[in-house]
Amino acid sequence: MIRHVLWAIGGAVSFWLPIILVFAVERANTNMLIANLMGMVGFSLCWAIRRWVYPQGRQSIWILVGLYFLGPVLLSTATTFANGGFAQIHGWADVRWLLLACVFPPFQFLLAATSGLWPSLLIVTVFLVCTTAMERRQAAV
Amino acid sequence: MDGLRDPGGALFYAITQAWAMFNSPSFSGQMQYFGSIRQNWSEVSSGVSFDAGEVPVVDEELFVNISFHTWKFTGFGIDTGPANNAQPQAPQGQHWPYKDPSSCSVYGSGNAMNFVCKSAGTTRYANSTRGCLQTYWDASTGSYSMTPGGPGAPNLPFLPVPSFVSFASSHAICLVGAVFY
Repeated sequence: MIRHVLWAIGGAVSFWLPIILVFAVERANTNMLIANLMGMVGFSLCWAIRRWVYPQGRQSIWILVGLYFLGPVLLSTATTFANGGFAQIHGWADVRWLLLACVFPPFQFLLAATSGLWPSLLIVTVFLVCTTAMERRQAAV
Repeated sequence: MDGLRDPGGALFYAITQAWAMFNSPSFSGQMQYFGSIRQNWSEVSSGVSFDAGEVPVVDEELFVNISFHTWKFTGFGIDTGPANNAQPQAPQGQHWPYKDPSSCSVYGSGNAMNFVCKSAGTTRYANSTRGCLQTYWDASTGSYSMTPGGPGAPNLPFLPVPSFVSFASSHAICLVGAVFY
């Protein structure tokens, strides 16, 4: 179980950390093309490491869970550099919506979409859903 | 360095300033580094020490022009400062207005729409998306319309949208459109 959680955290960090760095550097002038590309590159590195370290594992679903479960907090960290995210949380109602986004993936996707990160998140989500299905199929054979 | 009254402090100051300059982005713009270690800059730069009784303390600021934005480097953290509120310039030929997070009050307060709206920040994309989506928003009914500025429809219990179709269509238009505008 700990291994699964670590993959979930690693997957989330690999995708969101490069985006946080782009927002930290560019802030209000963040180029969304660069942010999306950096997220994809980070995720690709994580995926390459996962294939190398754990080639037969069924970790895609855990990476996907981590991506969405930790996404709101990490995305808010990024957008805080552009006067969004935590900079716009002014009460418990906002905290409640942030926590809801952690467990309600469509809400998290909407947060990412309005921030301009929908292309990379969409691609990574589709990729992970496909690989999850493949891993389930391989495990069933 | 031997002539310095506080060679350790001077060395640390020089190292932190050099580190900040060395690690600065290579593109053009303005970055402002602020040495948080109180040290007379002339001691560091010239190696000449002062013996004037009271230690002359000067908050020296070193400016390096880089074209991106202004950072204030304190040595122990980054003060995002007023540049955090900088509004990006609206491009020529924009198809809808730019709106900053203060415009999210049209959705009311404490609801999901308000939270999503203001969380995006003040990037050019976020401002463009916000401006676009709010042209589809009918504040009188608290719902999205199918056409910009058109009438909305009654709310659903959870999200204040009249229907999934109008919500999805306006978001599809604005999320993609903001990439170009």
